[in-house]
Amino acid sequence: MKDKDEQLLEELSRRNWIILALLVLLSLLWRSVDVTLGVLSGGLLAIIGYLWLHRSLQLTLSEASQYTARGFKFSYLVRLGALTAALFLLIALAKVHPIALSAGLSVVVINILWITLKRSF
Amino acid sequence: MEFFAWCMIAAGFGMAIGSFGTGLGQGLAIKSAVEGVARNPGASGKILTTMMIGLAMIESLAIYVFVVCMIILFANPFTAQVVELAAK
Repeated sequence: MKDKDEQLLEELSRRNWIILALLVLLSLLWRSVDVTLGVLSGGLLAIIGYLWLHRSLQLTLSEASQYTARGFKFSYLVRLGALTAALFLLIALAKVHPIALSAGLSVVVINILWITLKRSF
Repeated sequence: MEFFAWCMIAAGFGMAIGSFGTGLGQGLAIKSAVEGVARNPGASGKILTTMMIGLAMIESLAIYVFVVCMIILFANPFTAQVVELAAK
């Protein structure tokens, strides 16, 4: 992969943390543990999912073989399973605030929209 | 009782439609990216970066659908009202 493209993905990864920190700070205005926990857990899940996808795609594309393709499929399934299990635990058992959780999960989307808008103007 | 049955139907259909759309979208994105790389291997870095960003964006749609389904099933804000009405 080219340096510039690698830089873009790294910039996205770095900015994910900044957006999460800003969202958590914003959530403190509600003065509710549930809201802050929802934003934090949602954001962490989104960022971990993004990093996991990035890593498995990088591994698959760096050496394309039958083994790596199978590994990617396995990693994809494990990632989705882990994500769904975590969300189920957070919503059904931990009872975090659902809107705060959705806001936290939007970290990557906000980041991508920000990059797109920045590049458009 | 009917309310809970409808909740389950809504969650099931929501998840089915959401995952169908996401699967279709991801499949089309990967297909186009692979075709692009096959046609122009020199642009593979740019294409794969865009694909990666697109996949993350599409996948978040499926996650939102899943969250909404889980809210409908386990954290429905109307459950208390419905139980209260049913008890009357």
